[in-house]
Amino acid sequence: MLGKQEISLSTRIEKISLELYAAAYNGVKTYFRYPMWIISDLVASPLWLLLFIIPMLLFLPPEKWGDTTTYQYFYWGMVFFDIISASLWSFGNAIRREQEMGTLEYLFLSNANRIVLFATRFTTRLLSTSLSIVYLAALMWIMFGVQITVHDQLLLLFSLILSLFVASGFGALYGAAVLKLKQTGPLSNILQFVLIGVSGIFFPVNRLPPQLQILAYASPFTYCIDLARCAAINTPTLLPLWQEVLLVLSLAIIMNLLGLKALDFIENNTKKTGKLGAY
Amino acid sequence: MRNMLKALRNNLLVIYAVYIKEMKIWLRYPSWIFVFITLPYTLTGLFYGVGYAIAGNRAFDNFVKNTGARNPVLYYLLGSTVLLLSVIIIEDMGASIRSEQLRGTFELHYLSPANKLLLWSSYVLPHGTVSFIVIAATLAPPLIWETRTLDIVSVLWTIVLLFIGMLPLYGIGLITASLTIRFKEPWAIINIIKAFISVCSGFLYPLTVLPHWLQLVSKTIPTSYLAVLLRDILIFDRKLLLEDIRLTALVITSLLYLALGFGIYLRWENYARKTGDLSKY
Repeated sequence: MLGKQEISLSTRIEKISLELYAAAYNGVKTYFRYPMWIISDLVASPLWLLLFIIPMLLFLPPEKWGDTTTYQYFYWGMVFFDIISASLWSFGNAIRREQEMGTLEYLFLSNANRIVLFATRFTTRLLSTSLSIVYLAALMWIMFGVQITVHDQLLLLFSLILSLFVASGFGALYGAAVLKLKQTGPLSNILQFVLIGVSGIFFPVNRLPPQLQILAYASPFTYCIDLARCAAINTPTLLPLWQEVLLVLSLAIIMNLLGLKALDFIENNTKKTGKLGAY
Repeated sequence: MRNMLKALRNNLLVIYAVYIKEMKIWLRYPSWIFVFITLPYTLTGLFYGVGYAIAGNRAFDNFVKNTGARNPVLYYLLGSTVLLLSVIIIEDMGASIRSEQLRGTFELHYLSPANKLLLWSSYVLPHGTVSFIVIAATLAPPLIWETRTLDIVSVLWTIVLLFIGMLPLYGIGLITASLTIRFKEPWAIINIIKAFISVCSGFLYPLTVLPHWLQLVSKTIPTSYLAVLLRDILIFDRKLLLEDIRLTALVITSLLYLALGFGIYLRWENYARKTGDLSKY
């Protein structure tokens, strides 16, 4: 076809790999450029952990404050708190930050796959989430004397990686909304706590009131945390295990495809109306 | 006398200008005010929901036993609102200066004949206005729901306590502003300060649940007295007396933090002027 260059599959794979490599390199470089942030996270994390856990413990009798299972729930809850925040703030608002830095238009002028926008953040988040998992486990042991144990390591690793992919897909969908609405800081704040509440990240969703359970089943993160909790502390899953694994895998693929489609649609729309550079 | 009046008029003009400018910026993004009103509700819902889910039907009784308060919603709404406002004030002082730097208007302030200390101090007024609006809008519904009427003395005490409680936060804000001038990107340090103040103030729990050594540390944090006194007035319906030792402690520690903030700010400003650091960012 006139004007369209035929590219072989291997060249296409090579090109996207290069783009992903560049994005990951950018992410790692940016992450380690600010070591003070890493130190600050290490110092402030136990304090934020206390601030979130103590108000919830007040509903338990003091003699149950040392219950290991409760802390295991809190631990995985905090890990998923991080993943949901990443979805909205790291992936979703990646576009906003590129806008503020004045680099969004350059990225959209290039022929790079739009996924690189999120790949950079994905790499950074992968690093910080891995660090959080290890660090929070150490804190749980030092502060509350609770040893975090893992029932099925392989399933846990699989569920965490898939959860990060679901988070990036959700982030891409949200990123499309950011591209359209521009100033979404307030929405991100509220949505973050709503998602944390309805996805049952600190407790199984079947303990929610029946009306809220409908919302819980609509949240993709409900199945992610449920699967991770099953792998870590051997809790029963909402669906039979293999069905839940398949569901989370499908969610990871579908959410990313939908996210990229939505992003593509909004990008074309804003390019036509000239609103890409307006913010 | 005429000079004094002129100086007073000029200073008032500075305060007025900062107030109008900051309120304009606040009102330009009214959705943020909406967030500040709704966020305490989402946090309260989260704590209450998780608490209920892990403790079941005994959740409320356990809460009463642990805190002495019979209304967890009001307890967490008050705590999370004051927590949110404290975090905003600590962050905003540094952020205001940083955004002036990024907009390229920071040095222009130093070219003007305005008193710089007054100029940066004036930021507390618009933030104070927004804080009072937020706290009133957040706490009014649960108080109305409980059909509780606060007497005028309690309302006045609440306003006075909030004002006194803002002074040390403002002092800490000045320290973060100094760090901004010195280090340009002080967010990592601010993050630690915020977390430390939030935990040691006991906004969301009684301080007695903390380890003994942390309880001792919290006695040096003015906002810990603010949280207890506000809970006494708004949740436990207690009357506050002038001879209350906690009130004295709040006033003394607040003034100390404010003086410390001013001292550090003036020192860093002086240093930045001498070394030319003011225009580097």
